[in-house]
Amino acid sequence: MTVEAHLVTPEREVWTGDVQMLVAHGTEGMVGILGGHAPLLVQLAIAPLRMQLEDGAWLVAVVDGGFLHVSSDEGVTRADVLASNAELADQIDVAAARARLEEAQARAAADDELAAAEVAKAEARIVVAG
Amino acid sequence: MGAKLRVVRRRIRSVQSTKKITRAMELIASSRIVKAQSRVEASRPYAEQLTKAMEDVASRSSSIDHPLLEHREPATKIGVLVITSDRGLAGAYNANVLKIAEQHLREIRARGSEPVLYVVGKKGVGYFRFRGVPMQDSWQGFSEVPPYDKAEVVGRQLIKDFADETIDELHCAYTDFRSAFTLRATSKRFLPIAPEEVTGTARDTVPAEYLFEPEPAEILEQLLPRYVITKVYAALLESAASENASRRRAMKAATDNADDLIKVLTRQANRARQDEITTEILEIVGGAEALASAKEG
Repeated sequence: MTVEAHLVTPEREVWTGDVQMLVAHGTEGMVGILGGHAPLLVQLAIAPLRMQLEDGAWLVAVVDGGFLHVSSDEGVTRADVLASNAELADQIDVAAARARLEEAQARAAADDELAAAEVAKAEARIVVAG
Repeated sequence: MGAKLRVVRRRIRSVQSTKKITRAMELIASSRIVKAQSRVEASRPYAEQLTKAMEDVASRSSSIDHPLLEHREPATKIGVLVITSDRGLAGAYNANVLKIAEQHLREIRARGSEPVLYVVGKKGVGYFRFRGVPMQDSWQGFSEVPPYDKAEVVGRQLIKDFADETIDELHCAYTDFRSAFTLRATSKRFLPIAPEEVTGTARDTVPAEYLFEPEPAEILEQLLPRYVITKVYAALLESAASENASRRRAMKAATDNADDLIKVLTRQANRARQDEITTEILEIVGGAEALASAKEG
């Protein structure tokens, strides 16, 4: 039994397809979704999102927070990841992420509230891509 | 070449170069409509799923209580967000949306409330500044291709102002993109969020087992601002598509007019040229006749 996964942002649909399993980082811990999972709504952290495809390979993406919404409709389990921003691992520009990290770290040192989130976003990208 | 002919030819050249410009702008606008439309399409899945998630939370929690749902009576300060374009040459696009906004402001004043203005787009900012209408806040520089983070900036500011009671209600005047031929300037209420928007159409098949992490109330706390921002983003995208559709139409009309004008002017130029030739022939014939009669005599 597979899960119909949708990774969407306000600007585009990043990825859609059937997966065996979806593993996400919630703000209160990790969650794994298999086919037939009960309806669920979880707030996500800025972290990697892993999806095991039907051939067993893992597809990794990074999400900047958001929500994971699991619903089932006539026996089909559907998982929607709603993030304000998301990128698949192979689409991440590592050099840009590193530049962003350095810049954000400099601001974080200067005690900027938003910079901490920026650091997390950049770090998550480097981890996922690297 | 006679003076008249020279003047007409100069005008033809001038109209032709204007036509080239309007034609180019028409083509650019057409390609941008397609892009803007696909951006509107691309933003739908997120908005739909977010709404679904919100309805799910609302249906599972006994009482939905959130500052963004707070209905204040009487609403003394009413925010109006007006979405216009940064550039002109788009026909009546800005005039239409500004007309709706003005009408809205008049209604608010007639009810004895105080309007609080928020403006997106250079044209709207210029319009209200010229009329000396105070603006609470304004944003510009992204009307043609609005990115989501700008919608977030605008949305966050509006939510903040609503929360600290700078405004008691928020309406948005923007242009709805029905199709490339039907654009309609409309106005919608964004805040407070109507309870029936949150609960949605009552579905009686709510599953018994439903997991939330963290608590539903906390999730709602995160979801509702996102929902408002998504609505602002949708309004910006619709307006961008409308702006381009409007510009395409205006530029097409301008190109057609230039074509007509060139036709008329070419006719004038031909007549002027013929007149010149006729005059010349008459002069030669007259001269020859004069010479002939001089010989005879």
